[in-house]
Amino acid sequence: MVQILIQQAENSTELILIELQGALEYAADKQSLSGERLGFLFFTQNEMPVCVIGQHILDGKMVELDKPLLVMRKRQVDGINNTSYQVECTIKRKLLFHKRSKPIVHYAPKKC
Amino acid sequence: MNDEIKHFPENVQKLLTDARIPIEQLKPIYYELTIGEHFPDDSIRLLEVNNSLIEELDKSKKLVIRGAHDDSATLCTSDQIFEIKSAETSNTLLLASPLDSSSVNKENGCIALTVNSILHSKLELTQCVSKLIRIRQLFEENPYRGHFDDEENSTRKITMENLRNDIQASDQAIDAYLKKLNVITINGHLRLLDFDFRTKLIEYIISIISIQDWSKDNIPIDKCATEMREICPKYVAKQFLEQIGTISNDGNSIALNGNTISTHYALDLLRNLEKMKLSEFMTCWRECVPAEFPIDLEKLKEFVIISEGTISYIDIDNLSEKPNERIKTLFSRKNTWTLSELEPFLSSLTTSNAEFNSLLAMHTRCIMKDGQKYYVPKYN
Repeated sequence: MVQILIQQAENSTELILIELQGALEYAADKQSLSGERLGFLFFTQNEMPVCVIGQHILDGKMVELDKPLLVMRKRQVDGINNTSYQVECTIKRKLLFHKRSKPIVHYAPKKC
Repeated sequence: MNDEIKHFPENVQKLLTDARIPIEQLKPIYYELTIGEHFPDDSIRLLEVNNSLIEELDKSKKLVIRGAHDDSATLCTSDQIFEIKSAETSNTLLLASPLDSSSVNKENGCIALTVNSILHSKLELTQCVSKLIRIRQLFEENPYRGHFDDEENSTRKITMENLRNDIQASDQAIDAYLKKLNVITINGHLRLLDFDFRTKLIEYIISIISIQDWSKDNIPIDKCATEMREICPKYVAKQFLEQIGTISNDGNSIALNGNTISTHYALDLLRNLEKMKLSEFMTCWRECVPAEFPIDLEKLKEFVIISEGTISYIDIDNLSEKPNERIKTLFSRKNTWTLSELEPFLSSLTTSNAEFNSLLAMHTRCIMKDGQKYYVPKYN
């Protein structure tokens, strides 16, 4: 039997949770993605978030979570008997992009 | 209007134009999402909790997960226990952190956010009942028998810490169960008193108070424990006395709990028999229990099944923890039950009144007989 502890980290990190419908496709394999730009996030004057990822525009909203989330980091020292979790952050809201994305359409300039 | 951050940089303006997002409707501060250098961070897990767990975490700075490698994992707090299960989502969850939360690049109003985790699942908690039967099994490996006890031989010494590590239950549930089992401490270890040994102790105490002419409501703990040294050490006697009586305000004496005594005698009569005629049992019971202690069948509710003029012992801890199996066993021993008869056996399987009622509705149906409500199995 094991007892695994979940503990507050000494310094909490600030994290933002963004939820997108569907999946993100990666052009290359995961490891080489570091540094790659994912997209942009804008907010309208009435606080509505707009996300642009690749050729997609997503409209969303800021939502309070029904149940808060703990973001935990698993620490494993010396095998399974020394597993523990550190809570890096508590999340109470998320940016939810629940509508279908709209494509960015590029219009070729008309020739005169 | 923020005049310092009037326009987005050119590339961003172009993007917004192509996307047909009217720039004037946007706030001037925007965020650039980049994949971080630690991507993918595989050590991150999301755990869905509730406000009381957050308070618990703030207060005691930790939450505890317990489980055997083949058990499901459970989250245990001081008074609650939850099953932990992973739930997948078809949505994509990004965790983004500001590169430097205090700085906004004033030149172009951009805050950089790095994404180090992209997740598709979270851990969910479902409240469940404690699995306490293991505690009793541990203790029954070596119950205490007084001076004849061979403590050196005990293969397993149990401490409170062992229990917290081994048992999937909240601390409160463990404490309450230990109290119910009347566990005592011997040399820092927890032990269960052997049943027949308890009978011996009770009879010894009753004869001592008669000899000493003490009142059953005012027994001096120290003197009584001294008188009991023939059958057990003084510190064991003291613990036992405190379990079977109510301690006085000054801590020096106890008032014997009549209910505890008479229940013990009832169990002594019934536990080794298949069943007994109810009338015979009541006579025997009244004869065994010293006259000054009352006998009350109601108080035996969670230990017995009374059916068709007979009474038999039932060990609730040996019943299945699965509601449908437990109900099957109960109805196999008795066909019709009243609500108050069913309640002691089923309430420990549910975590709320609503759950209890829905359990009944699922497995039983109600009939009226002579103006009384009875429950019978739903399907014969």
